[in-house]
Amino acid sequence: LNDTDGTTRPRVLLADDYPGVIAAYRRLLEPLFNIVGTATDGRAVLEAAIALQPDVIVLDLSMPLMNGLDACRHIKRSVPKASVIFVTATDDPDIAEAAFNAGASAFVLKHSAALELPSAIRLALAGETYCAPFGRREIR
Amino acid sequence: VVNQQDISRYVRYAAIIVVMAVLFPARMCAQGTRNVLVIHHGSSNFPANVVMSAVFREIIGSDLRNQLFEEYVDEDRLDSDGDVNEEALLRKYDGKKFDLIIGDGRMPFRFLLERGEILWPGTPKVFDFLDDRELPAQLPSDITGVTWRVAFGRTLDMALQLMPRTRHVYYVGGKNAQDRMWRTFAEQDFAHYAGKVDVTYLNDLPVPELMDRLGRLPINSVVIFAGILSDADGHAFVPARLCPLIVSASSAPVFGTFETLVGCGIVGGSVLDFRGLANQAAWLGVHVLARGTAFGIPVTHAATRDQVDWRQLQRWNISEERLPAGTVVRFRALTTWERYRWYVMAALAALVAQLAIIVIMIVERRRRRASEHAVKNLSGRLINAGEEERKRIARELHDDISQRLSLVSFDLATMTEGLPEPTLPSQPSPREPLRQLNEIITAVHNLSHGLHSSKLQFVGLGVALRDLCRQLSEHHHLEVKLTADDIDLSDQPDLALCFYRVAQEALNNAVRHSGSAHVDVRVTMVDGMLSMTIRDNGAGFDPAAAAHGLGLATMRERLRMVEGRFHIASRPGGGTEVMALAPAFAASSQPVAH
Repeated sequence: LNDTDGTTRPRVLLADDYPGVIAAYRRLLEPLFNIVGTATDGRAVLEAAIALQPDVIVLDLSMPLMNGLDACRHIKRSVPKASVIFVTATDDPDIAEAAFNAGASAFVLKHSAALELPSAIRLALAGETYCAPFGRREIR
Repeated sequence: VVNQQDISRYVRYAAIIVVMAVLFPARMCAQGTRNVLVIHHGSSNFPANVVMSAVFREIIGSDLRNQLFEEYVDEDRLDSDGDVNEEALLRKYDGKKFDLIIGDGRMPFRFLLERGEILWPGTPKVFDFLDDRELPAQLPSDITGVTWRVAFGRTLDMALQLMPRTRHVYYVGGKNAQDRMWRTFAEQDFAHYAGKVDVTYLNDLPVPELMDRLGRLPINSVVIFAGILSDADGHAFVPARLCPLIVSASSAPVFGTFETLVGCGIVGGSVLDFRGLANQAAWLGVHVLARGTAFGIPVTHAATRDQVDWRQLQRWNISEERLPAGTVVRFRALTTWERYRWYVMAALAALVAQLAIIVIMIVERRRRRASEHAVKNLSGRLINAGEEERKRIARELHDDISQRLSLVSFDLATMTEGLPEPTLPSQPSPREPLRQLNEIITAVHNLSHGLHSSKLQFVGLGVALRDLCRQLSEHHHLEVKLTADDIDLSDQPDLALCFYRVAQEALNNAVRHSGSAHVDVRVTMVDGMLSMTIRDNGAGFDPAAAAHGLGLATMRERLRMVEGRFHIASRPGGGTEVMALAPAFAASSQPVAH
């Protein structure tokens, strides 16, 4: 549970069913945050969230065993202090709305994660929300 | 003038006549008449005589050369010991030459035996209806015949077998010579039953007294009616006519020894069949006529047969099982079953045939249903397979291609971050490839979404439909208005997908064919039934003509797979209404992990 550096950087849990994506996130976020764990399916991320009590959880929408939205709802019930940030390829404001309704703090598109994810995490830690701009239309 | 041709014609005729005369002399001689005299005993209205006469005429008279003369001698009616009136007979047939004389009965036999050779020397003689116990030890050579034996013993056997409790036997007979002879034979036969039954002989009574007596018989009695030719008062009777009176007077069942009495009220007996006897005698006569002599032709015997009257068995409550084997049962009343057997059989056969047809039809219907079911299953499986395949490709695009492209984009974004924008407008921006890549990613994502929307799973039917309606409204010149209850179908993804696909198909049809400016989509959940109505006020069409369209069939099939119903109402110019209805379970409030 302790940060290996002994610092008090925010603790982040990464979840995506594609290992390449997790590796990329790790490269991006490792310098900035304390990556406390990773998970590749919906149930594993729920268990890890309860066990690790992270500050931020980066979630994919489509995952095996339990989808991201359901996992988010469970997490917000079991670990209310953890902020959930969705990173997904699904460019759909309806999905984003569903994500925020499930308790998410931010909604980031996967292909722009490199630019937006770190700031989205910081906003979430500050108690704010962030939603990526959509190509097709505005979220209502 | 006699010409040559006429002469030769006469010669031919003469030749033919000569040849015929030479060839057919025997034939011409054989055509001589043969006279047969039959002397019956008793009046011509005796039932037995009626039968005998008919058979003689039928068999002997069938040869036209034979000429039959029949005499009925009933002198014993005048005097109980009377004999054939020889004088009357001679006067009548004076000078007539006979080729055969048949004596039918005891009295004619005795007459032929005593006087035959004197009156008709050289004429062969045949007798019948003679008890073999009356046959003399030595017969003249030119006489033969058919004997029988009155079966009192066997008749009593039958009576005892049918009525085992019998203790008293009443023999009923008459007083003339024949009657007395039968009594003698009865005494001989019944001697064997001494000790078993007691036998009373009632043949010395006038018939009225006899009847009175028969009405007062003790129980366990039987009557053996031998026939009465004349009673104690000298009154002559025809036994067959008297029989019903005897039977009605008697308090005990009556048995007899002549077939002519069966049907006149007797239970039965071992009886003489007069027709059989007459046949035997007639053929014997034919044989004797052909040979011209009776010499060397042996005397034959006519057997009696066991017969009963079925109606009398019923009257005395006698079971048929008690009958001796081979007994002929006469006058059997047909039972309802016997009477209507063929109608019943025919009706049954018709029923069976109907049943068979029904069974065949049921089997056929089952088969047809099975094949219809198989076809439906197949179409359902095809829809499922199509859906699965779209899902697989969509997932492949989304999970693999899209992810990898995203990673490239991710890295590209990291690499180009902080690079300065080109100073000249003609130079491309280092971020241009990233922008293009992101466009590709969006295109791939949209493709994946179009193939199989995972959105339904994330946001529910209502939101997905709203998005669908909005997209159609945006891209086509019509307004799609959605009214949807807040329905949670997260437990039933198949049902949600079904309704989503039906809506897609119906809306696409409306867009393409209706020309309508407005389409209403209404989704409601009432009492566990999810219903969706999609109505436009456009061109409409004839549903019967489009019934086999793949789109409609697929929608119908999708509904069938979720045990729902699909209905389409449309008429040319009258708009179209598509209705989908299916049972839905109330989803639990808890989000459920899949």
